[in-house]
Amino acid sequence: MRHPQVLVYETDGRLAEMLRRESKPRQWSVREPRGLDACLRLLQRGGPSVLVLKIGKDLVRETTLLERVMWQFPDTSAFVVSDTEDSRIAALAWDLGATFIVFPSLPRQGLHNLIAGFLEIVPGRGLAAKSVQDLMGPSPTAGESGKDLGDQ
Amino acid sequence: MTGADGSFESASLPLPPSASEPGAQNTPDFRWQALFARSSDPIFVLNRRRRILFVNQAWEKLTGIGATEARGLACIRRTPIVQDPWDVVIRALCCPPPEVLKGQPGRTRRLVPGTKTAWRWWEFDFLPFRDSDGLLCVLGKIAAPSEREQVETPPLPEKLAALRSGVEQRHSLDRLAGNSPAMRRVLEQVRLASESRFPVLIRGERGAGKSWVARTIHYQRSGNPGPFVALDCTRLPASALAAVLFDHYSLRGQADQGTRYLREPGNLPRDAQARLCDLMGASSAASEPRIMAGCDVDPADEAGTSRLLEELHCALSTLVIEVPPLRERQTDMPTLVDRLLERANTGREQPVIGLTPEAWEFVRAYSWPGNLRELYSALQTACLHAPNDRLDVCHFPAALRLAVRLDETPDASKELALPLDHLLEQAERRLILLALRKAQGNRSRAAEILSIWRPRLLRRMEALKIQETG
Repeated sequence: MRHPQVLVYETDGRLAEMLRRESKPRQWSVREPRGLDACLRLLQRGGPSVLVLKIGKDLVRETTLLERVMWQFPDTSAFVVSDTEDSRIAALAWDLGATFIVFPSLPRQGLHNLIAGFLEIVPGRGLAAKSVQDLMGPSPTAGESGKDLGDQ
Repeated sequence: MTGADGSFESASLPLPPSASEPGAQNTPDFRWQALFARSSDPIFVLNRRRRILFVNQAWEKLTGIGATEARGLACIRRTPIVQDPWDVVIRALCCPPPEVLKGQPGRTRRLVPGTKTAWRWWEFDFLPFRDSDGLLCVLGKIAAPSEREQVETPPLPEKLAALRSGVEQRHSLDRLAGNSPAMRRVLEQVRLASESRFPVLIRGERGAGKSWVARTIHYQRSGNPGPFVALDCTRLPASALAAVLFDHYSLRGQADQGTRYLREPGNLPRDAQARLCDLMGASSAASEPRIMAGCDVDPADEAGTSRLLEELHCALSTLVIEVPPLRERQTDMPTLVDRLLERANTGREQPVIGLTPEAWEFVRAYSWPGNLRELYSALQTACLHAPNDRLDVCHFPAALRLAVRLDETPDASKELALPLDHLLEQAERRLILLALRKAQGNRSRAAEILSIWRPRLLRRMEALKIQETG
């Protein structure tokens, strides 16, 4: 069985550490891809995924990653975390498809609960399985045709 | 004014008299140039080849390019960049969008690169005129907000603005268009919705493209439309939703609050639904966001079961757009597959350019209950498995192939034909193809895998007309 994966893109590893600590009982897999290509490769492997993107260090690179992920993997939920409140950057992130934006006025610990809502609807199911299961409906055909493509 | 082909080269176009010229107002023959010349709005006219025929003084003042210099310049389709010479920037900005060249009026907002960081937006209105041969000319008008207006929301740095601009361009009307009657109706409704700030309710099956339709409406608005904020009412906590909806969380200070698109508003808590009704009463003002909502299930049913407040249902239903499911868009399938492949190909070294005839048959045979989302997901998976630039049936997810086969299974009551030779040939063909794929096209290795001699493999390949080695 494949665990839901949380991809964390940041430079200091703090968010990943926090999420790893808090998600232990939930069995999410927290990954820290270094760079755009590594991130896309992980997403291509499937699994219900959440991208946590810390922005502020290199805005162009970070927003390009967000744009690319949301364009190629529209089913991915993207949470943008920033240390500074800038409504222009927030507007851009929303426009690029961010699921939610976490500014300093929201406690970081809340991020874990935000993510949980997006990963625990179909715990342990692969992305393809989620779509096939959801899309083919409860007909006997759907059930027989493969319950979890992620396991194939 | 122009030659038979509308080209500038054969045109004889005298410069219009200036507004102050004596007799300009009382000239017995009406001269359209004189009328436009006096307009304080920058105006230009293009011929059918997109060459500039006429510009007025306001246009000259805005662009800094003289009328004599401008005449005959061809407008080109490209996104201008800082490094472009100024006349190239202007030619790119004044180029009408595709729907205008097809005869429909159009409005667009374009980013004008500045020499330093001062990028700014200009708004363009295009009005096409046609004759019996098609497009005759296009009248264009530019609205350039004053520097003060632009300063209120300082523009993003160039590269970030280009990212946003890319998203906006992806959601143009022509990207939404389809040949099916249902999509043509949607297109008309989107056009109508984009001319107002009324709430819009978008209904359709899961994955049918409701969010895409909402974005398209949002980005058709003239001027800076503000951000498009999509909120998932099923999965985001109520407090987070309330912060973005009612307190402008993360967007305080934005002059235009843009659009809030709510997925499944029936999942909002009832008090939030009531507050939303109040907000929608005030959302005609730019300081409040425009509300759009998307529903998989019929909102009338939800209102009936009290999940969705009746008042909210009424408030949202000012304009209802029904997005058709994919199975009702068979005629749009080639265009949709092309566009989705283009998307799935992003970043691929060897892009997939199409489908084999068998794959097309498969795509048409499957009912796509998950609509566009499922089609994209399947194409994405297939692209990962495709060794060359064409997708075949075997590259698609096994569950979908099985579903098609089950659909194709004849009724038990009918007598089942079992042509043994044909079935054996099919099985042999598949095994050979599988071996060739495993051997990466190496026929000697494939023969080894099949435990036969290479000459036999070659004979069978010839007999079964197997040419591909991939």
